[in-house]
Amino acid sequence: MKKTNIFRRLFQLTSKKPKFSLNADSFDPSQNPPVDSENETGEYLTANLAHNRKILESIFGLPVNKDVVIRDFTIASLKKKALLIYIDGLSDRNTQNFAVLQPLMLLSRGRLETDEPIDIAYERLVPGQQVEKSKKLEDVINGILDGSTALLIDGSDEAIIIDTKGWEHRGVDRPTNEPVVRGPQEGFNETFRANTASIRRYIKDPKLITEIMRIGKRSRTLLALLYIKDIANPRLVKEVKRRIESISQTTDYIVETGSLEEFIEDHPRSLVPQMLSTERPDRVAAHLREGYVAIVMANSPFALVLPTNFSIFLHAAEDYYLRWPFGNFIRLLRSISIFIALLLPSFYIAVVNYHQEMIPTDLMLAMTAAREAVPFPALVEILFMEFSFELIREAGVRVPSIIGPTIGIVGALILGQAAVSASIVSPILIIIIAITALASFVVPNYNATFTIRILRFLFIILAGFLGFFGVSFGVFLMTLHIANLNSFGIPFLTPIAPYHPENKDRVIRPRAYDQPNRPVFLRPLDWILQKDISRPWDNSDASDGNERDDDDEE
Amino acid sequence: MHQTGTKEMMMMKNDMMIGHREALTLLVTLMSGQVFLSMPRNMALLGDTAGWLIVLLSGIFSLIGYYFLASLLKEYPGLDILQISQSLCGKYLGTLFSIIFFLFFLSISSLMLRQFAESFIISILPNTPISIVCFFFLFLLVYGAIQGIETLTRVAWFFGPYLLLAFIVTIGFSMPYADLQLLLPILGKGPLTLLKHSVFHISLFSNVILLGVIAPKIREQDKVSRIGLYSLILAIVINTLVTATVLITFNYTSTSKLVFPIFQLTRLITLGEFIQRTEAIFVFLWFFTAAILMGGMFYGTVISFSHSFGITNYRPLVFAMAILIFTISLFPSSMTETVDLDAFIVSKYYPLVTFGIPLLLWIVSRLKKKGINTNG
Repeated sequence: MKKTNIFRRLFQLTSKKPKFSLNADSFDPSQNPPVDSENETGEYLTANLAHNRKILESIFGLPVNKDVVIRDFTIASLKKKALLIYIDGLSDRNTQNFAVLQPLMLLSRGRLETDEPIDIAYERLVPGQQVEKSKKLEDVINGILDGSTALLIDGSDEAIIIDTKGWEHRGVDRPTNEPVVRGPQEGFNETFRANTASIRRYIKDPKLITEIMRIGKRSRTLLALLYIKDIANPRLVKEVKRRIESISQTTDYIVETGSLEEFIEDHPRSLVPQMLSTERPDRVAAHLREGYVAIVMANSPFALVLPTNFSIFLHAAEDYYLRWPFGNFIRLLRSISIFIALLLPSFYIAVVNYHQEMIPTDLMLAMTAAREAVPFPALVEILFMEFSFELIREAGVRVPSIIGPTIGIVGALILGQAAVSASIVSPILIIIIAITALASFVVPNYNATFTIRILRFLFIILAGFLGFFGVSFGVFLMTLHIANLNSFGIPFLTPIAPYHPENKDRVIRPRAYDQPNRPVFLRPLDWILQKDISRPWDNSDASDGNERDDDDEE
Repeated sequence: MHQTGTKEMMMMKNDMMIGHREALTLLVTLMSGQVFLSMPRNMALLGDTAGWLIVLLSGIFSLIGYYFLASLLKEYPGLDILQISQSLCGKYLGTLFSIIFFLFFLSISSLMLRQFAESFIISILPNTPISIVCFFFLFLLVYGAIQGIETLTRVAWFFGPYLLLAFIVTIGFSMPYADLQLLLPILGKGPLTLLKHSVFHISLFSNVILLGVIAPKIREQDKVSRIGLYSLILAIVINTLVTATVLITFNYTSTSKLVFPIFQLTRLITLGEFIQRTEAIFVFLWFFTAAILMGGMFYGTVISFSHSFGITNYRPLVFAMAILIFTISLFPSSMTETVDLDAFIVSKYYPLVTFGIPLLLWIVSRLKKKGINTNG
């Protein structure tokens, strides 16, 4: 390279235009008019194959778009030209070859005379198990985009949409976020039909309705609304449908139940999640039989159950699979841990800053001695530690799994030994943070943990300002807010407040056989979950022989 | 479009109903929340050893006073006491009654705010300015009033069992220090003084008037009068027990010198060697009681004001009313002045409002009925 060239590069004094920029000049609406395919093409197919082909080509942007494949051929028996159109990679080659092309081109040799070639093809030529006819262009497009193959025959204004879906996908796996020790070990995955089917495997009830809708103008994501027709309140179903339909055409792209949740929930600005998202089909099924409504979306391994109440903070699937005392032991543990996760750091701050007299003198001396070398106020100390713990938590999720163990080492070293020996935090604080962290992991719902994680910081700050007065202010405000929340028409604190004595599954769950009613706050069509005849042998009034035998022995 | 949306939401909020359990807890909290303040001390001042009897007797008298309110509410279901007064006495007199109710609620909210704020400053936040404490309370009042009374009753029901538990624990743990001898002489200053004070202090239970305000919102209309009755009885039991416990734990002379005796009572609680001073835990329940009590009274203030001037949506009033209450609460120059003002001066007029007006209305409705009967 020449010396002058280097010099010129270093001291480039003239302003140079960037090689490429997306500034305002780059878009000229008159030059590239927005393509609106719906205006060009009609709503229905025509009887002319060449015209249909042209329409489809313009819709799918052929021949630039290489995803969409059109295969022209002649149906020998009908002496008609035909075409297949599908998306490469979404449809299964074997099905196409052996169940569509082979019968159409090779197997049907005899001459078939008819005015309606499409009916003959539908009835006699295409052996696929899920085949439908449609005149609507919209159906054809949606079918193709779903991975089906559309068959168009010359002289017919109808298309046959043959189900040839088949793409690479993840198999059914264990639920990664809601593991249980006892109970089904199967979670949802990204395949739509596999998810709906796995729910139906738990409820083999013909009244379980799966309504399918599409959502998002561009994503056209399939969405299933599941409910049991003779249990779920029709008004609830209608409301859920109304909310989904109202956004199905106004939004471009909804692909996860997480973003759907935000679109349809009652209080989008609240810290509290108002729907239960779960990846366990057994949990969805258990809710469905109580009268809840579930939403399953294609490409999302999380289903939504709505409405929901405070139970998302407390209840987990396993509570019901374990025996009554064991399940309730976990429930109690969980409720205590929610308080710890929310309030322990703020209690520490309040005690250290304002109410030293509360703790025994020995412990207070130990704490003061431990804090002696620490140069920060307790509030700064605990905010620093909580922040670094949140860092570790978030980093642990994002870090590539190969270097995952590093996080543990770094975290343990920073949070544990080093921070204490450098006198940045006191050892008692480490214990507080560790217990809080453990307690916050006990909360069974991932969304609900966020509520607690964020609120914890608010409580710490309130405690730092006003001690227990601040904490109690925070708790009361939180309770006011939660008592005011509504999730699809049911109050968030129900069945505690408003109180429903019929439903005993609040903090402590009743025995499995001792739960005669469905959640009445959902106003289900059928209130009776199980009749009193469960365990008839417990009934002392039963006049069977056993009772008398016992008496005789005495 | 947007406006109709908000209108619908308002409708929804107003349409929400109160369960009878929730209403009952709210009323009990309203009437017995004052035991956290200087109520036991005032009773000791008035009746010496018979302070608890004053509570009991005034409770019984207020039951009689309540009968008129209950029968009014029964006669006009779906109307609150302010609407009843307007429909019975015409627009002008009814509005006057509404304004009197408003003044009652205003005075009780302001005095309660001041007293609770002072009690928290004395007990746990000695260096905090009163305006800060008041601000946090007012924040809750405003938020609660905007959410509506339904939310407040739910919160009351949610905390109710814990509050009751706290009362029982406080009473139970102070028993080792108790001496029943301290209740002697049983009639204190004599039966006549006792009776006089009991009659003049039925204001202890005047908060039951909030039932008149929330009655149309209660889901089971046939239970309205029973809600008031049971809540009164429960409050009488709680207030009497607490006052008696204070009197037998400290003697009446010391009680009359403690401004907030319950706080001293919680200080006595020890659980073995480890948990020695639990009053900070009681701060929570104390706070919740205070917030529920003031929330209810604040709601009454706002509602009675909006009724007096025919305002259908009370929510925009909330902020202005909060500032008004805060200002009035700062009128007394000191804490003892506030306590005395509340206990011995202003409260003399409370029964005229809370039991007198219902009695008047009841008489008017009887007369009207008679008039209709004789005319017809």
